Amino acid sequence: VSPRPDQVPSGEHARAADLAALRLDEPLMARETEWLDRHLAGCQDCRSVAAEYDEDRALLRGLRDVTPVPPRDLWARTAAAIEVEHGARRPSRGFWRLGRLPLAPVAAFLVAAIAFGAGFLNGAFPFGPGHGSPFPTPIQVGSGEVRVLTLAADGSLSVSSKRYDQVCPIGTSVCNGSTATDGSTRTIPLADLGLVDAYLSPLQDHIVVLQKGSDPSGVFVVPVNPFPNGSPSANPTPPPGSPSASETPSTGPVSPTPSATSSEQPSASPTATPEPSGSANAPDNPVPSASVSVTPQPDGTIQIAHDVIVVGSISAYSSDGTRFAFTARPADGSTGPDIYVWNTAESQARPVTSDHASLFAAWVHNSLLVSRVVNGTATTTLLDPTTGVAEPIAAGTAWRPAPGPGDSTAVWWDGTITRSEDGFGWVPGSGRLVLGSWPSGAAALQPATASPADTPTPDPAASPAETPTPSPAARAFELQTLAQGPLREWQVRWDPSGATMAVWVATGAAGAPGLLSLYAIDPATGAANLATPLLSNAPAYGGFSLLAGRLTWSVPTTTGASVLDVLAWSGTSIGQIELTVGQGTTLIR
Amino acid sequence: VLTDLPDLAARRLLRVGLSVSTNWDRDEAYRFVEDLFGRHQGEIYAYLVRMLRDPELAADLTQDAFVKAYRAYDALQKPENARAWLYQIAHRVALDELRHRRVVRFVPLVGESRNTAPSAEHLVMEGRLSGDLQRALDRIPERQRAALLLAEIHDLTGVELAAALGVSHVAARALLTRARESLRQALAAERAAQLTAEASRDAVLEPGPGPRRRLGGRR
Repeated sequence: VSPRPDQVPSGEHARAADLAALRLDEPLMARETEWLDRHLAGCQDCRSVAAEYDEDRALLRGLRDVTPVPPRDLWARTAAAIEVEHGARRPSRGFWRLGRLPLAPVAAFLVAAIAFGAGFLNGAFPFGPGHGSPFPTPIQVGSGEVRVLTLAADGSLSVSSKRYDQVCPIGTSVCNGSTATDGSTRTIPLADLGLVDAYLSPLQDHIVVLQKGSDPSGVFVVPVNPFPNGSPSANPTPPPGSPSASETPSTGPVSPTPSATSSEQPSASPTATPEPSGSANAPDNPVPSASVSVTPQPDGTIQIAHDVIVVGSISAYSSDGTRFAFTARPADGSTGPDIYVWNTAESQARPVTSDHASLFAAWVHNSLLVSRVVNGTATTTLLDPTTGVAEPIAAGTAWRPAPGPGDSTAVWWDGTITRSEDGFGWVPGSGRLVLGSWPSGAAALQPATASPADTPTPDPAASPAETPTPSPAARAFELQTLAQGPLREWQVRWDPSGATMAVWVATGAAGAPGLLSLYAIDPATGAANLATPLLSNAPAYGGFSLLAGRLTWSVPTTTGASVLDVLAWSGTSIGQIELTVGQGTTLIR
Repeated sequence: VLTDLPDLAARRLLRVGLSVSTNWDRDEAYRFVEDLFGRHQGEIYAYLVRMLRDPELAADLTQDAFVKAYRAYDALQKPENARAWLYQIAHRVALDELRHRRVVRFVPLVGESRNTAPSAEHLVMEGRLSGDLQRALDRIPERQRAALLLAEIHDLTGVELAAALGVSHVAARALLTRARESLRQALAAERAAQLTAEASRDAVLEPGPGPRRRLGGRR
């Protein structure tokens, strides 16, 4: 009895079916082939079974025509999850404490990393009419332009722009009529700088490019429109390499004791009073400055600092755009970090601190918020870079605060800090990144007449390797946790209107992607709406841009291509557009 | 010197011999997994989509698979087997997910914030798979389904298939043979059920007394 197609074959028919199936996967032995052919010749149903195997195989192989494409951000999500594990397990100095930390914050971060699935845009964007419902396409939110720094195949760098006239509905990257056109491109006289940060000046007349990484690097200024006379400086200096002038004697307030090491506490007073930039009064100081003067390139590009290592990713222009501040330390490892300020009328950046243990936090008008550890206590002071006078402030216990619009709220680190891996700086340890309001509003950032009793007392039990960063005591609203530690670094920006705040946090190695979120800010209190983030944990490289109605960030990809995502809103419309800008591209923020 | 050895596996074996296997280079593991991801993410994701028929869930599990690969980096003895090894991890991840569904009923992994509208790709997949074949694939045991997908769509060789399924070559071949027969029967059952359904629908739509009559021609 031969089997019907829907019956289980048995006996010889079963053997025939097995062999008919098996021969699809591998050649049968000659003896088996001969037996099968003979059996099939005499068994109609078995021939049908064998034919069905062939048909089923063809059906299955037809599925190859439909190849599911992974989400574009899949590597970013995976990398972020791995980075969390990677960082959690890394037995390096910066993370050594993690093994003794409760795992909950790490797990929470891992969940967050896993959770930003196909869409990280929350549907509750307050500017849209439908709270996440699709919008008609395309969406008119006004044109926009993104400037990028691009590395060409020949190793040259260029500044170029990409313009878009309209954006697509949320959740899509392509919509009818959406266009992105290439704007001007200009090669600049700089070779491949590796990992860089780039800042467009508020006046949009030049770009500061900071080389990053642990190798000796530099900071450059590139005019957006080439200077007609080839120099932005009133006092051009001899070219580098000139024995007599390639390095100038220190004109900055460099410490006479350049012996700070990773094992030493900073010894300088937080009220050190560096001289105004340009004054050369360091007769007792044999240590050359990390800055040198150089001859501008033909298009006006100058190097405002070299042989330094830029520390962290917090750098900024002053509000009037006349100065740019960053943190760096000498590449030779002779000292720890100081804050450098570049006056746009000069040809070099100059250190404005001298304790070799200062970190730039933010600008408050034309003064700097400087965070440092003094006698085991994290302290933030207000430094006038012109006079060099640093004064304590009421909010001085916040670590690296980034004040929001109106200076009445800020984001700061609430927890402990530990020595960075290079031993020179400080990085967040356990704790959290918080948003809070100052106890006395903007007055908290005014110089205070702090009595000794007001100064936080170091915890005598605290390890020298970790320092608590106490938060201001009173607040108009409860502290809001933006991210749990440990973090490698963070960046915070508010849009000019103060309506939104973007927060980027990173846990992995330098240069690895982090997570970007966007929050609506309550105009009455300054608190962030954390319950419904407008953008939640989008994979992003640091160096995002938040302007009026525009959030732009660089998206990690597996192919190495550089992709920028733009979230744009205007009135009741919101949309997004994705810009492919080629490999090796850095967003100019 | 470990780094002088050209072969990754040799270095790893040497490490094991030196009893320092718990101290493997995590940067090396990261780079290795990053490279694996670049090479195989598409096929691993596609395999999980085909097994689970849920692109978003498949993306989550693809991520999970590569994180597991990172964790298990030291367990890979031969880098040339990485593809099959990766499929083995993905296969286990998929089976875990399917077993979990059986135990607790399926609950979406994501909250309300995720866009639940089906993607175009999902619709295409559904359209292509919504017929007899997908239903038949759904009816056969998961391991058999996996064997068929891996062999016929993902082109795993016999050795790779055995590694991915975590069985011997002989067992993998037997599993695949059983899977072909299971699919044949399942397809036959599906087609029979479809014929029955069509026959009963035709009967219902026949003009006659009762409310259904109006379906035939409303004025």
